[in-house]
Amino acid sequence: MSSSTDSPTLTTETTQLSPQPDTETAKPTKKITLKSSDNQIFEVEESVAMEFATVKSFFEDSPSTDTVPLPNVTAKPLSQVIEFCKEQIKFKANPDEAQKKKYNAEFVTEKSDKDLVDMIPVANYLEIKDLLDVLNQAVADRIENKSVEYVRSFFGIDNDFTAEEEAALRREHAWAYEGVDED
Amino acid sequence: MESLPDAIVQCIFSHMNNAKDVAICNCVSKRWKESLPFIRSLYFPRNSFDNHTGIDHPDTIVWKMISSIVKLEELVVYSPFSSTGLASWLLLVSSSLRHLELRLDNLAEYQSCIESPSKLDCISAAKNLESLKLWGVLMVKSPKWDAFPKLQTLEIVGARLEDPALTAALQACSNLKNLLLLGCEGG
Repeated sequence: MSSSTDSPTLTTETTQLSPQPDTETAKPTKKITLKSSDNQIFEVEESVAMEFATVKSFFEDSPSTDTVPLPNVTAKPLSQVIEFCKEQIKFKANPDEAQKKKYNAEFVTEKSDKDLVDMIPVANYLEIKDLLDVLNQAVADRIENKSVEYVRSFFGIDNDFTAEEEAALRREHAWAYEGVDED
Repeated sequence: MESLPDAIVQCIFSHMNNAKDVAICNCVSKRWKESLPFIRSLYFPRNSFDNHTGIDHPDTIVWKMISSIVKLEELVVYSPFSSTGLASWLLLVSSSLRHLELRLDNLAEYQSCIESPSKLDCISAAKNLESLKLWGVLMVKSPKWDAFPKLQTLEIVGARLEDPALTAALQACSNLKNLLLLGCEGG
């Protein structure tokens, strides 16, 4: 408990101990090239590509490759998935659960139904669990209290029941059809 | 677009907050119907049967939904039900159920509390519960609970409790880590 500490000295020391990080001189990050099924090229930072478990294991198996072909993935959903992962990297560096939640909510809110539905198999194929959870919750919310027909057109699913089969199923779950939005 | 993998359909089902939507999606396509048995959680909101005019009793409807699922882990029922209904559901899922949340709403019904077995008694069948949340509980006599060896969290919201009854209930929960009593009165 010494009261002899000289405050100007302390200030100087503090300044010396915490040099400003110079982001300009940070070492250049490695880029990884992803190629979509429609032959579009995406250059992403290694840290972003490593968010894709599928790409990560591809690199672990063949480290010398410079381009990762993604035969099941088209450009549009891929670009949206990359956008999401870039943000998640930032949250990894500076954890802020509230901001992350807000970002994730906004990310899905501004997407069309089709964008969401198209991203799901991509997130699944690339094994991005966080995004998959966000997307599954978003589509579950959008089909809440909707009709069977609405859900089919939402996901682009063909009805493969016969008329009799469908009628029997609807009878079996008759309670669920009381008071459903038809639009 | 390629069709959604089965595992994804199951995940979407699991994110639904209303069993009614699950029932409707059962009718979407054969693959969706085949995914239904693999969902892990079911929610019945308070108004689930408000518009219900059919012949099936709500207890039976919940039973039917539960019976189509192989390994239900989480069940939430806010809609009204009877103790007989609850007993029949828990018979189906007693081994797999880990989380149970019920709106008992029997504060005003002394009769329903002293009936035997009471709703509280019935819960004893769900031996593998890890969390149990109950709303509107009247606990004036000890519930017939054997043991919940895995129960870590017990929440009771809005209750009239008699101390000896609560003490007896807690004795069945030997590994309890979190106990939350909100809006409880009695002594």
